Formats: sequence, structure tokens, C-alpha cells
Amino acid sequence: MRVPLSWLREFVQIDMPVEELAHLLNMGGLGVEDIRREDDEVALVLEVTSNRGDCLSIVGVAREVAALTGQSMLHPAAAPSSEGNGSDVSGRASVEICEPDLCPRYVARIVEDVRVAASPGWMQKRLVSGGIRPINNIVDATNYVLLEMGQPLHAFDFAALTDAAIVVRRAAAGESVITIDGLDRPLTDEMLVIADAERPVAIAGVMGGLETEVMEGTNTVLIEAAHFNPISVRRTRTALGMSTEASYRFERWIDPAGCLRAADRAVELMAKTAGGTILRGAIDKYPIKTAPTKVALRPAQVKRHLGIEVAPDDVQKMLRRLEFTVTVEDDIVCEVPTFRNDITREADLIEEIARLYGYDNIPVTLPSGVSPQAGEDDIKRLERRAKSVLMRCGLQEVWTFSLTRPEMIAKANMADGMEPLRLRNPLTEDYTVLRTSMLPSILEALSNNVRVGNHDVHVFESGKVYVPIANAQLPDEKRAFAIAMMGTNRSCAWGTAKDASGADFFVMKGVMDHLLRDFGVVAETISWQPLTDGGVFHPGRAATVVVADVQIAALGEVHPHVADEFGLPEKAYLAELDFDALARLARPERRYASLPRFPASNRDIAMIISQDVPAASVEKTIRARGGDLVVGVVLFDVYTGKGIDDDKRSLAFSIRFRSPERTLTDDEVDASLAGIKAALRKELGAILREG
Amino acid sequence: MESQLSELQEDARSRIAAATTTDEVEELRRLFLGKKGPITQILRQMGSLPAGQRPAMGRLANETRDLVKRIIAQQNEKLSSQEQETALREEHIDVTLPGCAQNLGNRHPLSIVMDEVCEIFTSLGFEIVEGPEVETDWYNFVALNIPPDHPARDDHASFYITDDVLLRTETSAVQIRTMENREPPVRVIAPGRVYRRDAVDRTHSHTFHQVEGLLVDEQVTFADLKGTLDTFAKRMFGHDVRTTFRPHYFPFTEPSAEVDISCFLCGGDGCGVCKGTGWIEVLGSGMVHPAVLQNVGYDTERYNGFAFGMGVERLAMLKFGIDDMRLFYENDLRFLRQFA
Repeated sequence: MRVPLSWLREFVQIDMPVEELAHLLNMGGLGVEDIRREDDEVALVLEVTSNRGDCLSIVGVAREVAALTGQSMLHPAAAPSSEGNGSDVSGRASVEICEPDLCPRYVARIVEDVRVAASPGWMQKRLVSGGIRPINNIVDATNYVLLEMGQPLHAFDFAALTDAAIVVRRAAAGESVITIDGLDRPLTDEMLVIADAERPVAIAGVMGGLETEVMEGTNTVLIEAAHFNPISVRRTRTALGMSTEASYRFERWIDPAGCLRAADRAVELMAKTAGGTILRGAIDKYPIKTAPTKVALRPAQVKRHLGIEVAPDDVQKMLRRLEFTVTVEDDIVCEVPTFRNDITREADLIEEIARLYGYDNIPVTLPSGVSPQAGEDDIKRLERRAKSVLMRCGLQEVWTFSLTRPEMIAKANMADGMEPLRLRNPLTEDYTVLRTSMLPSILEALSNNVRVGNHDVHVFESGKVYVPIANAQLPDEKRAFAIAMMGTNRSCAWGTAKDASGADFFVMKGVMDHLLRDFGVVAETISWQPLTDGGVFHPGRAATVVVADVQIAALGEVHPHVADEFGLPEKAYLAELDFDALARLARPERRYASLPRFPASNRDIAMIISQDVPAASVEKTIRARGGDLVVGVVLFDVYTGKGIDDDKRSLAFSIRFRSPERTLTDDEVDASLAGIKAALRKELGAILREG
Repeated sequence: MESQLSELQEDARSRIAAATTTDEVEELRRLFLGKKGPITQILRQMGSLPAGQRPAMGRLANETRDLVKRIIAQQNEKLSSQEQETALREEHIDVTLPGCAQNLGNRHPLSIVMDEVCEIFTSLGFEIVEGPEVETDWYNFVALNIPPDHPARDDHASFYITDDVLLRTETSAVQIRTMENREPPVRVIAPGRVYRRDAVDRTHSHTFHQVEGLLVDEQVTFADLKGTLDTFAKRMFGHDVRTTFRPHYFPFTEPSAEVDISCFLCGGDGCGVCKGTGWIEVLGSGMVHPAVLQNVGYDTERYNGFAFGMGVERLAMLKFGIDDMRLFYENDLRFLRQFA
């Protein structure tokens, strides 16, 4: 809201530079966003918080300045309703309020024989600076009062009101009104309207109607100054998808006690700028009076909440500066004027004290006490641990959105998955659902990088997926990790390192191994099972990781179709990890194992074996048969091709034997090895290469 | 024979010294000290000498042999160290060729800032708690003293799933869930993802991140709030940073305050970052509204507290000088690697 200083000065004395005034208001709770200097005018641009509807006017700001500087203020000139140069208003029009809860007060005054024309320059200038377009001297006068006193007014062309009647009622179903912006507004019985004897002529507190609009040729005007229920106005204008200067103020509460005075001010201005005769008196229907609220403050609470000592006398003085009527019983009891509907309880008074005392004058202390739970809980610690492992593996952390769109999921060939949670009111088509997998969004991160020329991308994300639960209000928000790899991950384009291999399935698997090992998952309990469903993955190059019958991850090469969809120029690899499941398995504590005291013996074996036998089965057989003496099994060669049948391959293992109790003899090792070989032949059909 | 030996010494000395490789020296060693060499020959001729001359001449011959051995050893030592130096010289590399390493992964800038905020508060005795991002209207609004039809809802344009379920607009909802489940003292911070129905541009995003804090105990004051946040600001932005607290309005706190820090770039003189004001707004805060405490069944005569919240993106933009929020979510490695 804009506050020209010259206007403000009409009501309160300002004897400080504008910067100082801005600081004073800022530190008093009226945020000054800007100081604008235009022509000969200096204006403050204020950010008025939604609890302070009373400050949405020049007079309201003046009142605040007066309170902060400890002075009193003036009020705008107004033509009291007891005066007026015309005949008495009574009998000239009728006002009926059918919904007193929604309209506790309705004041009408009438000015006749006006000459509708442009308003004077000084008035137009102030309206424009307040962001309101000048229309004519009558409408401008109402808007002037809106800016000045915060009371939205409406002027009706009196002759257009059937039977000179004002009826404040709910709209009937099927009714509509054309508002002054020319739009036909269908109404519902949830909406309060101003009607004449026949039809709605305005939407209460939101906008007037076109048919009763004041225009050139209008002779008599009826000025409305009412108080409408804030919630009712908010619902109506939300339902109509509009917001006006009037509705903005009604929503934030306008002072019901001020209606009459605002009407008086308006007719005063109209008489001045449009001539005419002010009818004596006002029609003032006030079925539900808002009484000033009484709020008690126990002086000790000031110290308790603010940590400052303020003498009770000073407390009273501060509250009086706010125009509160203060009486002292056991407590300090304030009668709060009706323009301050935000003051309803003790805490509100304490805030007023803090504001006037000055936040900067409150000391700086630290709270006492220690917390046994301080720090991170286990799951956060594990998450940090996993992130650390992945970064040590050379993966860059990314953060992607949890919101995505079904097309993105379809692009990742994952549309067959669970139905995601859908936003009822998305802002754009790009973000309409909550992800149920991390993979589409990390694919998008790869794609984003390819677009800017980064083809070597090794990244991970720690995030959440949102799994709908049937018949539950809220979804299961599961912690998940995603990993994506494409190209090489070395900072070298020359020498031997240049040839170091780029991403492939086994690089991804190696990362997963590191993570599982770091979390203390026992290697023997991990099962790598081929994942042949396709979807986002290559059906022959993907796996699930299963530990103790629980699937904790899926990983593999990106399906070529998907890679195409995302514009990936090279083979890419993905993994997604159910972090909650992994965390449940985590045993990250370490126990020291004594170092071996006796030397080990190594034996290499090579075999030709069916392609159908997984390498893991060979290793398992070696370990099972070798027993405790076998302390290490390393696969060091896999060969297919020339000299080997198409359905077979050659595998070579290095086996390490050791006893914790003695140095093994060659005979012992050879005997064990012979047993292993026999088992491989018998159980797996391996042909051992001797030599 | 004597002159023969001294000639021999001279000859050996000059020829060995002239040798340029250890191989040459070896050849000379064989020549002088070998079985057919002159010294061996002289020693063999010892028998033909008169008995009286033999001891002296024998000593002289042995001395000559030892001397030649010493010369050879010296020359060998000299040459081999020269040869090694040459060999090492030939193995030289261009040390300005680029280094080769596996790339390191680093944290996302929002992680860096979020971790730093969490670290500061955990060191002040706060506990990290989390809550759901898909939240009910009650936790996100009503329990926080924002009833339906409250104008403050305008500041929290929300994505709804159903009438009563929405994507949380602030992590304050976690405060309510935390308080519901325990008695004071409560001293928690809630980092997390929040959503507002805002279009994405340089300074807005439908998704962003917050860290909110809550402390509820007996005898907590606004002065404690100031002290806690002043400590935070100094640790986060530097020990010279000052804070100022401005009254503001949040439905869930009373009194409420916005917290500005003196500009850590210009020191408060005014620059582009602080838009010439010398101050930068970084936090919202206040004493927990009694209605909020009552909503979770706390006795407001016994307990009170303070709460605060900050935007992680905003802190990161300030700290790193980032001018476009979208960079955080595009995940361009050229951006992310700058925070390694």
C-alpha cells in the first residue's frame, strides 16, 4: 500500500526525515518496502500484514505513527449526519438487512442534485498514487475515502434502485448480476448481495453492479458504508475468482464503528467536488453491535514471555498510546477499540508491549537446559552414511523434484507401476503427480546434462517416493536412493587412465557392494537375482538385490528405448534403493578381527562350464566344499569365444587357503583343492583345466 | 722392479681415471689385477729376487695392488653414481601434464546449507525431526492457528490432493506432530521439502526447502529467541554479523519477528546483495502462539516457547551468490561441481 507523506501529514505530525520514519515503522511492525520519490511527492510503500486491516488506510497508518511517536492525531473532516443542507433522509429510502450475521451494519446517506464530472486534480492524483483509476467525482470520492479511512464505500445511482430500496440478502439460486467490470456473475445462495426491491444490484463487499452505476447524468446518489462479515466476503470473492480493493479490506476486518463517519466524510467530499445537496441524517441499520473487547494483562507475563522488566505504569502508558482504554484492577484491563480486531488475548497485548518497547531493546540471552535427544536420529545418521559412501564412490549428489507428470513416468517405461497421487489443482501440466519412483526424475537429470553437453554423468539422489495406501488419508513416504551413471568418471583424457572403463553394470554393482558392505550387510546373505521384466531396465542386464527375502534394490542398464526417449547418447545405468529396507538391515558397528598369524597358500583353478551356471554358484560351491580353510575366492578371468563351445565359458578363480592355527602343508592344500574340483565337476558339470 | 712398480702405479692411475664407464673400469681391473696382469706377474717373479730384497719388494707389490684396487673402487663409485644420475635424468616426466583421478562426488549446495544449519542447531542442543510432506489441513493450517478462510492462507497457495490433504506449505506442521507426541522440554528443528502453488522462475519454485525450529520449555523468553538466532546468524554468516528483529505477523507466533542480518558482504554499508540497505532478511520467528500450544494440550501457564523458520534456497543463494533458483533443480554438473 502506498502512503503519500503529504496525505499522512494531514493527520499526524512528522518531524523527522522520511528514512527515519521508515525505520520507525519497520521497527514498529509496518514493513516499509520502498520509499518512492515522484515529482514533488514522497510516498512510503507499505507491506501490511493480514492481521492489521486497520492499517490499510492513511488514517490507520497515521494512528500507528502517533502511537509509535507518542503524539495524538487528527481525523478527516466530515459532514456529520445531524447536519446537511437538504431535507431529512428518512422516508426517502429503505434499508433492510436480512442477514445481520453477514452484515451487522449498513449505513446509507443520500446526496441529490450532484453534477457528475471529473474530480479535481488533487483528488485524482491521490487516487492514482494509491493505484486506483479516477472515474468521476462521485466514484472518486468513495475511493478517496477508501484509501483515506479504509472503509470501502459504494455509490448507487439512486434513481436506478427500484422502490428506493436496499435489501441486504443472500442471492437466490439462479440470480446473477452484471458487475461494473461488465462481467455477468452467476450467484449462489452462499453469496451476500445488495438488492433493490427486485434484483441484486451489487455483490456485498466485492463489487457494485453495472445497472446502478453512477455515471454522467446521475442526479442523486446513495452512499453505502457497511460492515460485512470477513469470511463471507472472502468466500464470495474466492468463488468468483476475483479480489478487489474493497474485498481485500473487508476480508481483513474494517471497523464497524467507523461506517457512519466514513459515509459522512464521503458526502462532505461529494458536496465539495460535485455540488449537490446532502440530505440530513443517515439511515443507519446496526442490528449487531460489535462491543469493544476487554483483554486482561497480568504484568508478570510481560517478563515471563519477553525477558524484560517494564514498570506497570509504563505498560499502561504504552497501551494508552494505542488508544486502548486501560483500567487497573488486579490485572491491567484493556478495552480494545473495534478497529483492532486482532487483539483478543493476553499474548496480543504482550506483543503490543514488545513492539512499542522496541524489539532491539530486548536483551539477548540463551535458553537453558540440555536435551538428551539432541542431534540426529538413527535413520538420519544412516542416510548421511549412505550419502558419504556414494560420494566416496565418486557420485555427485543431485536434488530433483518430487512432483512430476505421468508422461515422464511413461517415458521411463514405468507407467505400469502403481497409480501415483495426483494433485487436484496443479499449476502446470509439468507437475501433476507425486513420484512413486526416483528413476524418472534422475533420468531427467541425465537428460538435462546431456542437453548442455555433459556426457559423463555419475550422480545420486537421496529422496522420497510417495506410495498411496488404500483407505489411508496419507501416503507412505518412503526414503529412497537413486543412482545414475553414464560415461566415464575420471578427470583424465590422456595416458593409461584414459582407457579406464566407463560406466557399466558391474561398476554400478561395485557401488552397491560398497554400500552394502558399509552398512554391515553380510555378503553371504545378499542374493543378486536377474530382473527380466524390462520396464526401465534392459531385460538381460538388470538385477534385484535381495537380502533375507527382502528386495532392497533394483539396478541395471537403461532400456535402449528409454535411453532414446531421454536422449541419452550412451549406455546409462540406474539403481533405485529402498532405503527404509536397507536401514532395517544395517549393522554398521565394527568389531576388530585379529590379523592372520600364519601364511596363506594360493591356488588358481580354471574350468569350462555351462553359461547357465551363475558365477555366484561356482564361488558358493568352492566355499562350501573348501570349508573354513578357504579364506578368499577371487574370480580373475571370464572367457568365451574361440576354443570354447558357444554354450560354455571359461572361468578362472584364485583360491586362498589359510588356517588360523598353523601353516598349512602343500599336501593339505592340495587335498582340499582336489575336493573342490571334484565338487565342481560333480555338482556343476565343470571341466577343470589341468596344468 | 721397483721402478717397474711405480710406473705401473702411474699407468693404472691415469688409465683408470680416464675410464668413462663402469664396463671400462672392469676391463682395466682385469688388465691390471687379473691372473695374467702385471702385478700377478711381478709377484710371481718374487722367487727370482735375492732373499733380502723379497720382503720389501713383496710389500711394495702388495701395496701397489691395494692401491690399484682402491683407485678402481673410487672410479667405480664415481661412475656408477654418474650413470644412475643419467638414467634417472632420462626417466624424467612432464610434471605439468594433467593429473588423473576418479572424480569426487560432492554434496548438492542445498545439502551443504541444510547440513550446516542442522549442525549449528544440533550443537546448540536441538534434535532433528522430520514429518510427512503430504499433510492434512489440520497439521498444516488449523493447528497452527490458521483456520479455514483465514487471509494468511493467501500466502500459502497450496497444492491439494483432496479437500483435506495437501502438500505441506511449511515444515511447521512437524512442530505440531512432535509436540503431540511428547511433553516439554521440546527442542527440535525440522528440515524438509515444502510446496507452494508458485510458478518456477528466478526467485520462485513450487518446491523448496525449509528448516524450522521449535523450543518449548518452562520460562522461555523472547530474549532467548534473540540469543539463539543471533548465535545462529553469527555461526552461519560470520562472527561480525549483527542481527535485528522486526515485528511481523505469523498466525502461529505472538509476538512475531522477522530477523535481518547485517550484510555479510558489505558489512552493512549497502551493496547489491542487500539492495543498498545494509540488511538482509533471513528468518521468520516468534514466541509460539498460546493457541498452538493449547491445540496440542500443553499448559500455557507452565510452558511457552519460540519457533523460527528459514528458507534453505534463500540462504544458499545468499551464501554462494546464486541468482537463479532454477539452478538448484536442473542439476547441471557444471553448477554442482562448483561446490566441491
